[in-house]
Amino acid sequence: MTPEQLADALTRTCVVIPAFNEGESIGAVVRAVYEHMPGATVVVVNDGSTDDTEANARAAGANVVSLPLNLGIGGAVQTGYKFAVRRGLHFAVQVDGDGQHDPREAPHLFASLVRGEADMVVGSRWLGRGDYVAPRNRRFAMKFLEALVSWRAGSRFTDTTSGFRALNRRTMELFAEHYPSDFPEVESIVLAHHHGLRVTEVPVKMVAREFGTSSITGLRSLYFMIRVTVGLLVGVMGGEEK
Amino acid sequence: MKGDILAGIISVVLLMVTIRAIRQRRLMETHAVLWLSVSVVTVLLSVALPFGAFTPLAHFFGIAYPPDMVLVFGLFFFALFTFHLSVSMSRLAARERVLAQEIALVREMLNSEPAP
Repeated sequence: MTPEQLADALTRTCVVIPAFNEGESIGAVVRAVYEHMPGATVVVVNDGSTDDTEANARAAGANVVSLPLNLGIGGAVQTGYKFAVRRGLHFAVQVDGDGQHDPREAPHLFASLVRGEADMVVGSRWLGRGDYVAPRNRRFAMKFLEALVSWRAGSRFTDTTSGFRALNRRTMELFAEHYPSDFPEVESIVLAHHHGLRVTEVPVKMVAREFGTSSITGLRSLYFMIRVTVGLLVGVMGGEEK
Repeated sequence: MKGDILAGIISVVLLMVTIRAIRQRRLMETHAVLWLSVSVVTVLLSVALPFGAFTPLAHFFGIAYPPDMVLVFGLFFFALFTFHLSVSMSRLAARERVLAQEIALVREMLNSEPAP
């Protein structure tokens, strides 16, 4: 991909940043996206935050779509995809609002999308770039999901919970219609695969989060595992959707 | 015999509560019909049980004590009904999600329109 191709792709790209009470970090994240992805349309989906997320995102120059109530990450990300589809944009990149994803890595996500070799690209922490280390207690869960998704999606995935991903128009249109609600990252990979879309992984660098803590800890992580497993085994299997 | 009187009282109370809720329009029509039939059926049952009306049927299912049969059917009904509520709630949540998203997207469009 030449720099010209990248610049052209960026003008047709929507950067979707879901944010729930990320007032401390959202301004810096938006500014970093504008700096490293010039020409892109940036939309912050404010998922019913009670802090100054909306004001700070607006001050940094982003489009802000503010949900009147808290829908959770799935509903928020889907709102961003709907926004991108309605604006007629061709690509979408999802970036977390907490500063964990470095927009300088976005070109790696784009390459195979722009060449038309993939419909969805997931940025993986584990494929060699960067030095991100997972907390020990998470490794089992990650290995388990890796095996499950690789089986359901027919090819190897190493970072199924990564929220750093890029989609083309076809995948955006699918996700604007159907998107899992609770823990969408894992399920959406399999969902896209089952709709005949090509999903691949590329290595990206990630930084340990600057603010806040992971939303999935303790008992919630157990629920997370059960919920995702059921979702993958049952939810996607039938493919019958009204 | 005393158990039948208690069952009768409970059924009549349920019937009264249902009628009150319907008159105050706190129940959707379909649910109103459902609860009315439930109350009527329980009233009829509490009247019919003491006369041994269900004894042959209960014995057919191998249930020695006829009121137990009513209990089993009752439990089955409630299991089914809670499942129905669960499905309705999921559908409502999905609709709520779509509405919230639409409101947010429309509001963004209004905000981003240039001032006249």
